[in-house]
Amino acid sequence: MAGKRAEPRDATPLQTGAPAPLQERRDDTEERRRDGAERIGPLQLERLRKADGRALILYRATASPDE
Amino acid sequence: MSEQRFNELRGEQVIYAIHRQDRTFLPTREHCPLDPTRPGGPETEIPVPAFEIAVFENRFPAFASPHGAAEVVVYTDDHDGSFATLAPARAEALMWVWRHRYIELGARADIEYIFIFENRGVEVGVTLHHPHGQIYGYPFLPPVPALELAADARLGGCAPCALLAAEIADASRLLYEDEAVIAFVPYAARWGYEVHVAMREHRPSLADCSAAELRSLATALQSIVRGFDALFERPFPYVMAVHQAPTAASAGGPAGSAGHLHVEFYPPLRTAEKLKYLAGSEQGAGTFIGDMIPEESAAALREAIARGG
Repeated sequence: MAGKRAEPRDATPLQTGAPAPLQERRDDTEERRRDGAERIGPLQLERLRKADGRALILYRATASPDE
Repeated sequence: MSEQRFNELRGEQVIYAIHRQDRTFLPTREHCPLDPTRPGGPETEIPVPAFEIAVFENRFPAFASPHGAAEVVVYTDDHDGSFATLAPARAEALMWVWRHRYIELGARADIEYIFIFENRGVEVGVTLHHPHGQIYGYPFLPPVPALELAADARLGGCAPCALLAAEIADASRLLYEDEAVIAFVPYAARWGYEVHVAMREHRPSLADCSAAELRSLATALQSIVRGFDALFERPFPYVMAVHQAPTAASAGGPAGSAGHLHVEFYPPLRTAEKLKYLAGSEQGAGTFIGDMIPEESAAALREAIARGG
C-alpha cells in the first residue's frame, strides 16, 4: 500500500525564542476593575465557593470592554 | 482521592478514581445537576437561578489539587441545547473560558498538561446530557500529547504545521476554512468521520490566539458539529479533544515552544446505526482498522456541513 506523510522540509521550525512559561505569564486581557469585578477579554467573572468548598466561576458576556 | 500507578509494560500512567463509581448517572431531566438552581427546585451544582457559562471543580474528580485538577464547563443553563445549538456569541465566549482556564490552571505547579474535552452521547460514555465539557489538569504529560511532541522531533519542526500544509496541498479532505482556521479529515484518520480543526498560523495554545482567531475557531467548531448532526440526521456522538502546548517546562521543553492548537473529533459512528468498536487489533495490537476511506468521509461531511449551515 502506498503511504504518504508530510516531509520534514514542510515543517515550521520550532520556535527558539520561546514565550515565557505560563508561571511567568500574565493574561494581557485580564483586568480587575476598581469595583473588584474581574474581566477576561469580553467576559466578566464571578468567583464563588460552593457549600462543600469547591470553586465555582460564573462567566457572563459584557456589552462592551469599556462599559 | 485517586491513585496513580505506572504500567511498566505499556510505559504509561493509569489513574484509579474509584469514587467515580458513585457519580451521577443519567439522571432524570428534573434532577439534572448542571441545571441552574431554580426557586423551589432541587439544589444543583450551580446555585443561581440563571447563568451563561459556569465552571466548577468536579465533585467526582479524576485529578485534584495538589495532583492536578478536574473541572466541569457548563455551556449554557438550557438543558436541551448542545454545543451545535449555542448562539455564536456564546460559542465564542466559550473559547475565552477555555483560554482562561488554560492560563489559570496552567500556571499551577502541580499541572503539566491541560486537556479540554467534550464527550457527547451515551455512545462515548456521557452520564449527563446537559451541554457541557470537561477540563483535566494532568500532573504529568499524557501519552497522546507526548506522541505529538515526538512527531515534532521526527519531522524536524511543528508536525501539525507540516501536516496542515500537506492537507492544503492535497485539498481532497478539506471541509471548512477561513482566514484563521482549517478543518479536514486527516490523511490517516483512525475514525470513519474523524475531523481535525487546526489554526492556520503556528499558535501553541489558546493563550496565543487573537480575539479574531478565537471567533474563527468557535465558528469552525460549530460548523463541524452541525455538519455531524446533519450527516445522519440524528444527534451525532463524538469526543472533542483540544490539543495544545504542555503548560510545564518539564513536559516537553519551555512552555509555549511546542504544540500547535488544534481540535480533534473522534466520532464512534461508522453508519447511522453502527458503531466502530475498539476491538482486537485496536486494543491488542494498537492498530486501527478503518471501515471507510478518509476522502469519501470528507466528501460526505462537506455535503453535511453545507446542509447543517
